[in-house]
Amino acid sequence: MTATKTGRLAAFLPRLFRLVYPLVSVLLFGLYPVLYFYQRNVQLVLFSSLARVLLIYLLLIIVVYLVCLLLNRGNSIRAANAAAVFMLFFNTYGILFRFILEKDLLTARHYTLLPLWIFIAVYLAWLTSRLRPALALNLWRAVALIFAALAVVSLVGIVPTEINKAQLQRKQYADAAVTAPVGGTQDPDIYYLLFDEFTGFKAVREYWKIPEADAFKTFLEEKGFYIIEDSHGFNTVTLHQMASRLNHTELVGDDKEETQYYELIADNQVMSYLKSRGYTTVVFDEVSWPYPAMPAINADYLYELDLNDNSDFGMIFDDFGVLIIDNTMLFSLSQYYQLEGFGYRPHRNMILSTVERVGNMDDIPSPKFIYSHLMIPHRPYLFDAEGNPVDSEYYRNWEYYPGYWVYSTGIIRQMVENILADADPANPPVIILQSDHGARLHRDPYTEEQRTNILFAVYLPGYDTTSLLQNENPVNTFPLIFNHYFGEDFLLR
Amino acid sequence: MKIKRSAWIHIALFATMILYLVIAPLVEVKFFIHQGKPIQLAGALPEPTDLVNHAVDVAKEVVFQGEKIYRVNGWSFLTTATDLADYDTYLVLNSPRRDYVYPAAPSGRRDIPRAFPEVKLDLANSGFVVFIARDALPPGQYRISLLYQHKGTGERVYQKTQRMLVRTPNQLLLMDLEETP
Repeated sequence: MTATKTGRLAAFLPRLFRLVYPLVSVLLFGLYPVLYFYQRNVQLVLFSSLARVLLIYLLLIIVVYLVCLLLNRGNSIRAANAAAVFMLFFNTYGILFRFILEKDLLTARHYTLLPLWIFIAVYLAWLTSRLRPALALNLWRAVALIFAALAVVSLVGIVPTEINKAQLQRKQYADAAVTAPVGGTQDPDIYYLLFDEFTGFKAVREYWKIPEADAFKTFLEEKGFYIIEDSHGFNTVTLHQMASRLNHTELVGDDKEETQYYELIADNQVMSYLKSRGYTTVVFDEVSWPYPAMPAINADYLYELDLNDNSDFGMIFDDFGVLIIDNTMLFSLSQYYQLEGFGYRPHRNMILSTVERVGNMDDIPSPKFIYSHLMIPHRPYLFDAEGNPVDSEYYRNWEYYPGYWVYSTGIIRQMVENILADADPANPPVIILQSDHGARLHRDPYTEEQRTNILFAVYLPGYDTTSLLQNENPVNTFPLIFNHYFGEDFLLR
Repeated sequence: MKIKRSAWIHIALFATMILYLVIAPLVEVKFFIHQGKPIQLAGALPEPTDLVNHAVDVAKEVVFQGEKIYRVNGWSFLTTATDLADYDTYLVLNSPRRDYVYPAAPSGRRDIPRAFPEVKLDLANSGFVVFIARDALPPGQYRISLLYQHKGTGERVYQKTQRMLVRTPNQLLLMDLEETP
């Protein structure tokens, strides 16, 4: 009896192996785009994002392979080749659709293009499964070999960065020793309010022609702000810009090597200096949303986006998932997996709670430094100028940028009103309104000058603002303040 | 014989696919697009006048009642009218082959009364909103005109604008007449 069972098992296992091992080429081929995009974004994306997409792909590939196996009556090599052909078409549909849409030469509609693409995929998969056995085996080997090599190349790029990311996350920063503050408790509270992708007034007038811009400028001037209209960042890379400004140095580095800036932001010179003067540091950070791999900023109080603040169903795909899935046939279902209302609830809540909290911080001892970096009017463009929700279809459509820009001015107004209402008239605060870069629109005739034109408005009590330049370098932000209010002699760029 | 039969299957499959590609857009327009279709207006369009002050400001794709359509915003007023509420307004798209008429819904415009303080007419509702389904409009260039029709007498006033809509395979673009896409 036992011998019979063993005999059956001995016969079954090789057969099972023959059915399963050809799946390797389909897996390597089908999963390669996921690995490729992860490698390109490994410094920004968490491993958990990759795992989620890999799991979904794995299930899909197995289903496609099983269907092909069934249609090819158990011929596993033929099934693997056919499945690989189908995966090729699966992985490229979104790219093709957007290409046609962008070139605008043919009509791009999912209800016509998707059936056509599936038809061609199935037809070519069928043709591939008709190849002679020797040729089919060679094709299978070639696919397996080439994509195994490519996977290894990707992993070589991924593993060291993953180790680096893990080390950064574990790192503990030492606080600067507090020295006797020169100005005692009369040091002003300093608010550094960053609005991501908020185009400066000059580019708004030249290109976007947003009529509300003038009213916003008037509001700021009436409140006592000085507007620096022609200020530019030296590039449009958020981390590079913030690391430079928070360390008052134009950092020279590779824009693609994002991790080098993580630490410079998390443990920056500006906050270190202010801590040494007895400041309490408060950070409202939304940058960790697009850069989840960034370590937490070393602050006394840190408010971050709470991604668990999704009491609905959560999200099928995060931003990395959307990046991958948007290239595939599933792009035709984008309206269902787009991060709609509930998906952006944490972001929305972060904006509202920051507006509320920034102007109501009496419980935190002064002097305090408040650094807020909100991802507005950065995409997704959630609201129009009147504050009405934008349909998720247009969250990434530049035409909705001007409306969100206007909406963001409303947020800034509220923050400014709240801060000034809560301020001590005998010791008014310093307020800096700034953006990291302008709209990164890549469309002629939008120029690099316009892309780098930033919001730069300062409320500096007792400061002779006539000495400020209209093209002031944002890297000088803190040296200008520290030199004036604390009598320092930081180098101006 | 066997080869021939198999070839016919392939030809039939490809023919079916091509047929689907031709028919599907027509089916979509007929059965699945409900918003932003042109309407039939009895009678011919009158001779153009210059009695309508107007501007066509923007054409933007929006989702309206679950359908992706274009929303055209602008303002206009008939200088000879005593009350704009007495008139129905239409946006007409002219092409050499035919004219497409769309009903225009009035909308509030606070800026227009300020811009025309000398006009005695109540211009608070001189804005208009028109919904146009891109796929229900054949590709081509369309000059935009405005039509006022008196609700009581049926009197019509028609004016051509200097703006046009260009329907490309995937977009509806608002342009000045002298511009080319």
